Amino acid sequence: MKKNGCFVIFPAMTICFIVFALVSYCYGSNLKALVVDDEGKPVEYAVITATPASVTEKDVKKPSDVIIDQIDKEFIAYITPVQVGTTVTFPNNDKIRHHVYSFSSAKKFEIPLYPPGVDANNKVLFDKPGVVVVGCNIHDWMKAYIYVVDTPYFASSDSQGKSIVSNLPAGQYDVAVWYPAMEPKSQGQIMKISVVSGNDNDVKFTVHLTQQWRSRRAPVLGGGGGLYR
Amino acid sequence: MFSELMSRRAWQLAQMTRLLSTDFAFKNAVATSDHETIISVLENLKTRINAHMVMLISLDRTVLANTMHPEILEDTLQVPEALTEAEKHGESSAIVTIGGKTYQIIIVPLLAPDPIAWVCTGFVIDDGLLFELKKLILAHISIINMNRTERRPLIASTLPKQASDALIKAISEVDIEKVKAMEVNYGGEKYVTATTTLQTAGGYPIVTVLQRSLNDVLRPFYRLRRVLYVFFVLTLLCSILASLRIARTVTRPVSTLVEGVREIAKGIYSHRVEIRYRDEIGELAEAFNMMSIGLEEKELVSALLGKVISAPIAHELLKKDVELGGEEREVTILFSDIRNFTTISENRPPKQILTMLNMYMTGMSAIIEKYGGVIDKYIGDAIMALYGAPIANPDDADRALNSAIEMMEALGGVNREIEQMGLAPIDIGIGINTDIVLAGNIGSKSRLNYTVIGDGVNVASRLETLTKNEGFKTKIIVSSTTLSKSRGDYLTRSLGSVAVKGKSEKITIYALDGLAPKKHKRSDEDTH
Repeated sequence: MKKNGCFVIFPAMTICFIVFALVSYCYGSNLKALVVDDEGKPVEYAVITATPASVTEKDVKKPSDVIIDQIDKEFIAYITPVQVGTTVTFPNNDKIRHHVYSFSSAKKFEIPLYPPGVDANNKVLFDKPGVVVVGCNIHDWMKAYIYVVDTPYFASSDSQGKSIVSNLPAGQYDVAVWYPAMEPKSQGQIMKISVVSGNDNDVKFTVHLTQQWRSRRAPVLGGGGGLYR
Repeated sequence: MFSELMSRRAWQLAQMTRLLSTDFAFKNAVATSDHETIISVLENLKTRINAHMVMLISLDRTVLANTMHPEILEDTLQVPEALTEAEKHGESSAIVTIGGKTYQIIIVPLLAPDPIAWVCTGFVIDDGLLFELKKLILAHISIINMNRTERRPLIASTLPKQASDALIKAISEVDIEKVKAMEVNYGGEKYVTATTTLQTAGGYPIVTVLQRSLNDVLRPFYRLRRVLYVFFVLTLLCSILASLRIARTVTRPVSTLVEGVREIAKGIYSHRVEIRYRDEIGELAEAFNMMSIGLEEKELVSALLGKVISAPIAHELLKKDVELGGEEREVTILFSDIRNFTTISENRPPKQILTMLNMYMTGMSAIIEKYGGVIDKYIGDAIMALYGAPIANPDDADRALNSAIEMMEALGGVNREIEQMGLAPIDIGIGINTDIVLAGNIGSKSRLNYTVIGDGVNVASRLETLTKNEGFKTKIIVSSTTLSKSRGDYLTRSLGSVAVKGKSEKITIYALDGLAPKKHKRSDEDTH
């Protein structure tokens, strides 16, 4: 009976270990990042990227499509990080038309005045890494940033400045931060981390913010605002 | 005001430039990075807002395109301070000198929607602009570069050449930071001068000088002063005339009234005042005229009465209500008569006789009245006079006696006039008596006389008749009663006692020969 019991417990533990190791290997470790400004205040929407030192087969991940909505004459969301090769759709959910454009070198595009509703023509493929500033030609204040990154490992900070890049496979990574109002030299700071399976990494970035140019929003007069749906 | 104007202008230019920078086609063109296209777009924008130059500056401070040098692909920035200012505040405005010309420049970002470049527009500050501004602020404007090393400090000016030279000389002698206002003389004219340091980018100050000719400034004031002077004098004249007129409307009727009152006081009752006002003064004038009419009527009655009856009687009659009846009072009665008047008047024209008689009566009456006697009546050529009625005097007897003496003395003069008329001289006799008689208004209610009646009257008449008696050798016969009442000293002779008709007792009579000489007063008294 006793021998039998031991025989049962050992294989069970072994199986559990193997499963844990497999799960750990497959899902990888988490990178926990905190972004604060000079004064120690948390920075929201800051993008944390972890770029593998050597790209392997498993890092090539087909990016999913992303939506940047236009509601009440604002882009939602303000900052969207995407992986290179992502197709972004710009649906118009206002009652009026919009004219989305960008002159950024990472992606120059223009969707001339188009009516409300989702349209097949509103899709834009971002195939080069870099910052793409998106505007609306008829609403000067509308602005969105698309941060095109050449890695599948990225995350945006929440209101506490915290973000988690999850399932990092073990290996060496260059961790960087990006934020539109960030001073260029802050952008240069890169942290090298080495991810060991099952261990989480913590990083903290302190960024120096500069004044951001933002056009004044026109006062709401009559129609134009409100949701299309 | 000029600073306000300049900053407003800068704001307007900035607004225009801002508008340009949001032009999508422009952004599109810039995004092409095609230099030729960008220059062409800038030229187009330049024309749109009437700018004199437009530059496109990259975010890393390189001039990507410049309408002043379209051929240069990349140039160094000539306005670094202004751009720094723009980088700090989003946009900037400054006054800069580029290639010998002074520009007001505006730098704004080209937003897509984040800044992708800087757009710099420039507007030349020249004499033409200042002349435009001069129309608004009505002052000469000069803009001067205060850089001491600058060979031509005057940037632009509305002043003539010599005046601006004088200004630069004057301004170089003062510390422009401290002295903000001064006077500059040029061509014999004074200019009020105010200075403002303009917003500059380049390290040296640029000063705006505003000047107005003192005469020009004060001209409206002088004109106003002249108008006020004329107005003042006119008003003064008007008010003087008006007050004179008002015063005259008040004083003229008053002085007319005063004059009227003076005339009335003089006894000219026919005087009337002419005042045609409907106010209190008019009423007063009317009352005055009514008064003078009343006075005139009264005077007329009084004068008539005076002629018909003796003045004192007339006065007495007017004093109270005329009523019948009288009172007993002591009266001295004087009777005078012309001797042989009937003989004299024979064979003479009645008119001549009347003239003679009137002349005689006038002379005699005057003497009687002089002594306060009252002519009671004329009875043909005879005169009856009263002393003591209606007004009594303590010396009534003396008055009568003196009247008689003077009448005799006056007769000589009267006779000379009568002789001149070719008539024979006359002789008169006088009788005087004093007695208590009844004096008063005698007659009917409709017609009455103030007179005296009584025995005394008859006695006086009788005494006058006695003078015809040659034996008495006198022309004046006085009763002893009269003489006893008299107080003066007279030359008298007793003529004895005579019986008078109607009187039971004889009365003693005296001849009155004249006044007693004053030296022999005593002895005269003895003769009584």
